[in-house]
Amino acid sequence: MNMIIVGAGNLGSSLARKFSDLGHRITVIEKNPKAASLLPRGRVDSGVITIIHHDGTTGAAMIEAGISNADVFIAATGKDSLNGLAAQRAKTIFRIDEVMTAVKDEGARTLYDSLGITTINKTALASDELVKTLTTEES
Amino acid sequence: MYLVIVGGGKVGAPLASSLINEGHEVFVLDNNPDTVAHLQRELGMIATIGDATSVRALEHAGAARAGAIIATTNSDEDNLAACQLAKSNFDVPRTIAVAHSPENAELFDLTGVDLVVSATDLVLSNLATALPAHPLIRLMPIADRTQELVAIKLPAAGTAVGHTISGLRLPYGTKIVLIITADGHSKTPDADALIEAEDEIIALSPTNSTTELWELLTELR
Repeated sequence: MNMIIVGAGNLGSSLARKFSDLGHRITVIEKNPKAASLLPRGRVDSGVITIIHHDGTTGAAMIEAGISNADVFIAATGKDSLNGLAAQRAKTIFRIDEVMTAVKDEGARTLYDSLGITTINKTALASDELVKTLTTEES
Repeated sequence: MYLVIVGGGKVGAPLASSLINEGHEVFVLDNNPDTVAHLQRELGMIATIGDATSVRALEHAGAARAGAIIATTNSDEDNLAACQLAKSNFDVPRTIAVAHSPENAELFDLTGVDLVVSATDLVLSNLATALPAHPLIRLMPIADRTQELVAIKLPAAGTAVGHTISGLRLPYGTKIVLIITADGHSKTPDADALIEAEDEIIALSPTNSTTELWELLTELR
């Protein structure tokens, strides 16, 4: 699959690494040229992961990232509202079926559910995982 | 009406002040403490520090009883998020957002913001007004942008000059609302009103036939 990820922070870089492990082609859009250091260098050098330095909320960046051939779009910056704008452009303007957005504010889930955009809440996922682990240990 | 304004800066502060003068109850959310302190000094305790893209801050601002939310920050993404969260979580009946980039203005329209104020369009139409030779000026979008109010200046050698209004083959749905003559007087656009050289025509035009109207009125002999 062709995937576009906006943001090369912890979440974006980790997603890029894991999905490229699974054989997918990844394009990461990251505004700050210095912030791409978390991406696996070997994958970038071999072209499995492409980096574009651009504002990932813009249509121009999405087109440069090849959104017309993208199967999945993930907005993974550290700012909810930026993710929301990018995700909605991918969904509404570029008609990508599978769009995901990272959110910190759990209250935003209703909104994105109604728009058909999947939300990823790192904090909720981590605490669910911890609770599951502890509950399993106890039983 | 109770109104929540997001962003108390260059747009939000004077907006808050004028809405208060009109008798509205206004509350401003801004994430900059200096901006909030300034507003409190100028206008009283009507502002608080908060991130309007968080549901909790909107709740504290009383979004649930707000008649409208007006997002005026410099950040398009924050303006969109504030409006959408206010609508989805608090059923705010009217959401208004400033969009600085034209492509965001289009997206805001498509994603349910009730009224989008496009900063670029405003600047461009003001600049166009300042340039007398500019033939088409978009004054204001109307009815969810399906129609618009436009001003078109007729060239002296235009084919329309010398016709009456009823003699023009206007695009369907177009209505001429006012004629301003070259010397600055206004003329009522009756069916038999005569179009003269360098008249400025103010018309209500279906957005998709504005170009056709412009071509008709600026066609040269």
